[in-house]
Amino acid sequence: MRQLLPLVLGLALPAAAAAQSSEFGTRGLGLPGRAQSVRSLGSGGGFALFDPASSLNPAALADVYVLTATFTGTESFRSSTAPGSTVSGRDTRFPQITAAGPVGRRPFGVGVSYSNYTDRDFSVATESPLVLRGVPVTSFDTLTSRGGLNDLRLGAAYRGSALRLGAAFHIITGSARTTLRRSFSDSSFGSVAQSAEISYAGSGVSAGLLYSLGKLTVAAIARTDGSASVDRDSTRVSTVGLPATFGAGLRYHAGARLDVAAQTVYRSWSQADPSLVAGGGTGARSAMSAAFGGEYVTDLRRPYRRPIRFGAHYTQLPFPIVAGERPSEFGVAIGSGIRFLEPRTRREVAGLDLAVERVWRREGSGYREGAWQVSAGVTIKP
Amino acid sequence: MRGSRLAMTALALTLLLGCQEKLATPGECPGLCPGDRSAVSDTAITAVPGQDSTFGGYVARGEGNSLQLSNGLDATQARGMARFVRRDDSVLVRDTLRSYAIDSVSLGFTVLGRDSLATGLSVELYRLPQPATIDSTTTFAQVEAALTPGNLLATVPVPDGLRSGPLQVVFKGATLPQIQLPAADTGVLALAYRLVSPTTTALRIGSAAAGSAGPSFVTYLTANVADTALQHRALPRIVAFSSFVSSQTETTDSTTITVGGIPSARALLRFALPARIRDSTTIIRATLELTPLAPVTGLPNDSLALDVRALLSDLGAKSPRLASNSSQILLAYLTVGFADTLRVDVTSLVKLWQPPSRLPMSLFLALQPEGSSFSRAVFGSTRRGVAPRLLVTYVGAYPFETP
Repeated sequence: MRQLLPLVLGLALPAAAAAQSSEFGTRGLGLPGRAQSVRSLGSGGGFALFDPASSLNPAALADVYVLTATFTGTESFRSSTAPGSTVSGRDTRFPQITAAGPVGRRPFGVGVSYSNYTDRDFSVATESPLVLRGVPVTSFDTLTSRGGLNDLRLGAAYRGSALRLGAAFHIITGSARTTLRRSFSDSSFGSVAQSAEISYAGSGVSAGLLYSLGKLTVAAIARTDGSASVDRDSTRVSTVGLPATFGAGLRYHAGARLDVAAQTVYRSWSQADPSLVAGGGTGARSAMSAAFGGEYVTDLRRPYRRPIRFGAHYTQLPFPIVAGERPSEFGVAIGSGIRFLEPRTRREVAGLDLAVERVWRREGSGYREGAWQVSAGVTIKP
Repeated sequence: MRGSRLAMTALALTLLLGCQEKLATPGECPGLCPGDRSAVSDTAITAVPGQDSTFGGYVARGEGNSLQLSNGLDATQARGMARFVRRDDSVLVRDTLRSYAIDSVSLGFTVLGRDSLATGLSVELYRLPQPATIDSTTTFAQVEAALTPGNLLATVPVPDGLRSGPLQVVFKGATLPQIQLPAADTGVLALAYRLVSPTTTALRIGSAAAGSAGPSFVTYLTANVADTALQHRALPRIVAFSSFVSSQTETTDSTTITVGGIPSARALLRFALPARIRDSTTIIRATLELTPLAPVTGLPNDSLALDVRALLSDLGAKSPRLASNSSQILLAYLTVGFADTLRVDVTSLVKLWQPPSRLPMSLFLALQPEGSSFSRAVFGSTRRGVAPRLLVTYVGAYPFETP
């Protein structure tokens, strides 16, 4: 049964539900990504500032002792409600890829990661009555966007006795291929297909620390992303402000079996507001997020074997569907994982993690979304 | 390592099976429509004044794929004529010219169009004297003078149920001498075709340009050769010239939009699509409106269509028409007597005026079958009557939200 577990988990993934393509990604720069590993997602995101496989705190790279690569896939099943209608949707994402390792025997760790910064995947279908050439005609419109912004991080960290310090350079790039398709109930009117490719380019820097006080570890990060240039079909149209980020977290080793952690992060998304409004959007608001989670070891002799992770998070979403509103997201999570050892040396060579989240998003009284998100992460330590 | 293999297997399955998406979210505008909506608009564009022209002389008499035979249609008489290449008095058998004896001769023609309601039709075939002189200068009076009982070779009935198809008459035995070629004609046969009918009507038969549907003249002979397997041969003679003559000469009024007739006329329409529509909208429908100045004339129940095409380049009367695929040739079917406003969907052609092709904003009109039809269609122009116009429905550029 132990041998079959990874296969079962892998097969279960496509049948589950997940995250970031949603009606709350139709405005502004889209739905912000979380840049977390499956291990962090399974504990509600509470451990993200301490996790070297997440991309939030470069100081966590100091705790990578062997070359490690992680790959994350997320499947989302959601039900979205807008005024007057409800539909179900499903999408697949690969929001987090990392590779990190030590620098020889020196007290340094370096890493590169690819994270989803914002997600602008959506498809909106509408129909509306028109009068064309004096005849009533129904117009069927589908607005589709594929893409978003990605965050490529190059980071390094120093490992002291109790203090870890890290810094990273971020390249923010990506594009959204937006297409409008329109057809009419009267086939004598031809269909319409118009598209625009909106691409973004920016950069940022981040710094972080981890400080160990016995059973308690403190984390802090600061990051600034400046602004991103926005091109439409290769023509520069504007720049959009990207947020500065400040975060802090606590991790407590509550016992041999239990670790708990909590964190809060503030992002000044309101810097994007002027250019979004000027571009015809609904603007942006700064957002605060908080997360709490824990990891319980079920087998002290083999702590890598199926620990139980749990947690919850709350975050404000920066891009309202209706100007002036404040969308938000709340989610609870549970997860586990398994590590695979090389039989002879008992060295860890691979791992598989699974997280299941139930997420609720809302804005005002008109927009609601509930989603099951299942994430699977593969860790390879060659 | 077994564990890592299993992990990789799980990853591969995830990639293979997990990539299914259903992204649709409920439509609710303007909330979920970034950029909101683009407007659908209509506009009517009249042809550029003075730039719509009718040009004549494209397909001359006899150059089309059919010959006109008319018995009073539109008060016109028309006769067909065909001259075949010379029939020699010997045939080549096994590299040797050999004399021959004629067993039979067949003369044929193919009906291409008729008024299916007209009955009791027949076609008289006459031998034309001095056949070598039959050419494009031959007049109606010259042909009509030759249509005497002495020159009548045969009368071929046209079955009432025949819409199109070949007919022929065979001369053999007692009738064979009728088709004997006089020595003065030096082996050349020229025929005239006259329609005989109880009412005024007309008929189209295939010309030389119609290929196998053209007039035929085949001699079946026995060659003077010992080998009996080589004795019996057919000696077909192709058409060297075919045309028809008419009792009336058509004139084209250059102040109108006229298509069809003999020689055929075409019309060039030019429009000035505003730059804002041409450059940055999606045209979803474009309709060409033509208002007849008179009912369409011609042979009732015969096929007839207005041919509308875009131009590769606007060079006036000699503009090359676009016809690289069938979707670029628009046909609007007409009937004789049609007098309403003609509306032709030209969306596919008007779209070619937009980037990236940017073809000239012109349309070339012709009547099909060109040079073979009894019909003419006369429409109003910017000089006379109701001018041609385009009704264009378009969708403006979608205001995609650009942060």
